[in-house]
Amino acid sequence: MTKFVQLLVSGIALGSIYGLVALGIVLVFKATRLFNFAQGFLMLVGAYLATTAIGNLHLPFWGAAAAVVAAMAVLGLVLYWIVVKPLIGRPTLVVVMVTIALSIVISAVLAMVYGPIDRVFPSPVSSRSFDVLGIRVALLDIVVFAVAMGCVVLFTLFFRFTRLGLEMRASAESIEAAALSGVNASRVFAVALAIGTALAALGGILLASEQSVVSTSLTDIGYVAFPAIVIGGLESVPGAIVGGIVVGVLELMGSGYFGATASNVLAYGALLAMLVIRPYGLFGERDIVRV
Amino acid sequence: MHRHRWSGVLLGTLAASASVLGFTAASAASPAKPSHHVRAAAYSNPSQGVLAKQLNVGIISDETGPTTATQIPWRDGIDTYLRLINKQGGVYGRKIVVDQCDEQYQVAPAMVCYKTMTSSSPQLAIMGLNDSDFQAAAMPLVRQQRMPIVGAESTNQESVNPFAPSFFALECTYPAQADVSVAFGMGLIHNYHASAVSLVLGVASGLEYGNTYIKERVLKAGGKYLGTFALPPTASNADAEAQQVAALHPQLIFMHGSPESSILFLKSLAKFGVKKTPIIGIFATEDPTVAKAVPAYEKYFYAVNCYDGANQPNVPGGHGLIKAAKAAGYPASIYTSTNFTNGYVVGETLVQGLLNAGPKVNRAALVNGLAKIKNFDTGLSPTVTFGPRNRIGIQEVRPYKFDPKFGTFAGVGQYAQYAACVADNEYITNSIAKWSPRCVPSSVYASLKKA
Repeated sequence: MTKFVQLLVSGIALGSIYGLVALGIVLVFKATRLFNFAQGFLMLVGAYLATTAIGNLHLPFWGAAAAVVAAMAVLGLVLYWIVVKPLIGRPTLVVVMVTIALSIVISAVLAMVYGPIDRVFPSPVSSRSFDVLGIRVALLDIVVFAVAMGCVVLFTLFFRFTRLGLEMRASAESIEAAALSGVNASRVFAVALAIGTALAALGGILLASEQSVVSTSLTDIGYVAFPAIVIGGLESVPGAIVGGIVVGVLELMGSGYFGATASNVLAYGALLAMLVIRPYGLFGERDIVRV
Repeated sequence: MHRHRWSGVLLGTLAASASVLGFTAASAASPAKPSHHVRAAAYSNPSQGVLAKQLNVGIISDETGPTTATQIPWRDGIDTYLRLINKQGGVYGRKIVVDQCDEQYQVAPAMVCYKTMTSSSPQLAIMGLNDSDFQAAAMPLVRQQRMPIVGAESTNQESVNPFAPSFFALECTYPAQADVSVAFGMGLIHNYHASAVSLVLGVASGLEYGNTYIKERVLKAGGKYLGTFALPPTASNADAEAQQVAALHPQLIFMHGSPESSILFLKSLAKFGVKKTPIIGIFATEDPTVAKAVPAYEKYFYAVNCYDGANQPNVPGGHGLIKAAKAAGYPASIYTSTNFTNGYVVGETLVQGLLNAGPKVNRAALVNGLAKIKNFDTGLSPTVTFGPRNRIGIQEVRPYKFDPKFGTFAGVGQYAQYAACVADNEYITNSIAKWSPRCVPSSVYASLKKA
């Protein structure tokens, strides 16, 4: 029983990071119908920028994190104006290919700037852990979970009660109708990308804190976000986090009971099962199209 | 006029002899510094990468795949030494020109690189075959074509046994590392019946390090082998595996893997309360980022290797390497890596082989030239020795301990103090009959206590 609970606690913490990555993708999709395949690589940018802010600029950790998140939000705006805006109105496949190309460019630029050597990522919360009723809990695990829950609450309220959130939902439903209602679609898209990129940075910083090192392997987590999104629902904010947690728990249970290679089997098996049983996800809504 | 002609010939002969003698003396005394005064005869063999003014050699390494953190510094080390030699005039007046190919750590593109270098863009020698799977796939062709392969960053048993005349290994072998790791670890905790686990982290191959080499030595010593635990390269959490290891309470932990996965696992181990158990790693685990990332293990973390980092204390060849690396434009983050040292020594060894081969070089002559290398002191590793039937150039290894003062690892004792541990190369003999867990002299542990 202790083993099960331990794996559950570790899985929830890991899944919270997956959820944050998935949330960034969901937010952008919810507002723009754009699926951003570069999210994992944007995480890496955030992590590397944080190492520069802490190591070279000597900023304190939390100040560096805030500065990087803000800087990445600006980067999201820049990416919108340079990469996404020219493609508005083009077929979805074209936009998807552009995000894939963007991920390759980001990877190459980071390799050129930072080189192949991994960088140590100092974090004030990365190594403390304590015992709760026989279960080991890392302080970082609690921080990550709290941040993920905070984001769920924040963005749920944002989409429900703010004008910008309403405009984003309207644009996602029908950009033409939203434009006719006076919504500035360009502004909505830009803000959505800024938020998504900022969330990527946050996820990258937390993941780098978890691993204590920044390396190109951090981008692998971008791929794990996909089952999280499918399980949770592509347009659901709480669904992204719950989906991430489900994937994290399944991975840890697989590793713990069947071996490390079983973790992917369970996670992607759940993705397949969800696509068959409930393709719109746990929290998604079925689309009804009237002919 | 006749008299002047003979005088000229005599003087010319005397001058040439003096040059060759002087050059030979210089080579014997120090690492290779070929004189540009000795010019190559008008000889070329383009089908084997030998041109009048240049020698073409190939490097096959991972430039864009998952092992760039180790292979790029290795490649840069080779590049640094070859640039140094070219600045001095090359080898017998020929500059060494490198043709680089990205294997992406995948067998298919790696084989394309190899086939190109042996056919359409022929090279005199190839440095690479670093990926064990690629090495296994390419060796039948290497044997058939007798293509000189120098200094692969891994050594498969099948590459040296049966004997492959043109494969020159410069990477310490799994058996040698296991010989020293287990003996040193057991001596460290004064328990020759210790229980142990092996961790193979983030590397696609390497399970045999734990399952075979560590296990058989632990069992031979009378210890208890509790298992091999692996983490795939894509793992982003190691809690499940670390929990299992923690529950076993091992007295020794042996580790092989990538720095990122090693850090992940060590952090999880620390989380589950495994903190004072000595951890002895090999290969890429000897990375300051690993030791620094998990402060709880600084005092208990060792790595076994056959290459010194240039900035480590008491490394005779360190200054020369650093000077050459700076001249080549490489930053400290690259040239302090032991992988860089490894590459630098590969470059040195290749050039030594070229010198031994003489000006009329071809692949066969280079193979003979490399085989003549004996007790070649690089100042950065154990001495390199090949032989008529020996293609494992470096047999000795030693442990290194992380020194927070230097921010890097420092050798524990001298390579020669561990020679008794590696008396038997299992890759060749398929036996560990000569290995004893008590092969490490007590003076080694005494030096640790003093430090």
